[in-house]
Amino acid sequence: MQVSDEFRDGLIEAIPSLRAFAFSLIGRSDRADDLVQETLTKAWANHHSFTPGTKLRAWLYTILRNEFYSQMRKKGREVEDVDGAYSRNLAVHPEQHGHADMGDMNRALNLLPADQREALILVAASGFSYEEAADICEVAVGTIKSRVNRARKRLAEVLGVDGEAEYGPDPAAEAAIAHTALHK
Amino acid sequence: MPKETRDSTGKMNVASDADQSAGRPRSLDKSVQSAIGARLRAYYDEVAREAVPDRFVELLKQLEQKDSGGEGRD
Repeated sequence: MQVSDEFRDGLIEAIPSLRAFAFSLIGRSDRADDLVQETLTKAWANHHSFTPGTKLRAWLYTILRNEFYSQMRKKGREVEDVDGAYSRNLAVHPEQHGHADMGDMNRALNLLPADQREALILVAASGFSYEEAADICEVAVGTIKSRVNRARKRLAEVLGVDGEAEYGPDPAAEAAIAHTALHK
Repeated sequence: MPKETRDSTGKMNVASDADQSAGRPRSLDKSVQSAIGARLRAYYDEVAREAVPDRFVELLKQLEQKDSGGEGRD
């Protein structure tokens, strides 16, 4: 069965955000792009199982996430050790994207358990609803809410964001605070 | 309920969170939530805004060729 133009265009359109999702899960861009490549290949091969009219982007994120965890398992690691892999990656390639703040956010995300990290990213960065994130992660909506809540709290501590920052501190000051919090 | 609003690059306008509802007294202050949300999106969008590497253009081409070239199964 031929892949429709619409499906192909949808894949192309999703690449930038899939790359961002993969990068925020892994913390390293070369591995993240490998994961996106595998996701696109898999999506193409299984295009017949996509239901037109439903959200292609959520479907692709589900594939990427499943692929990520299945790779971790194949490598003989427990899923929990995703965190370990993340740390090692950071040690090798800190701040790949050049922006000083990226490294701090990477390190902060690294302090979160993998399940909290993905829940937070899906809801707070990828723009999925709690319900969609729950579908992607195959857990209850309440579970996603509590993971996101815990992840936010932890990030607030680590990044030194407090309630007085009504409009957010200026980026330089914020980065300095985060730096201090991470390295003390 | 959080209202989902996003564009193709995955950017999102954070609507009010369900966490803010009653019965969750320990939820983060709203300004903290939005500060964290803003930083996360900046981090995420930094990658999402990068030019798509050539390898993906090549990949799509290959997949299309394989498709039109008959039964390439593996």
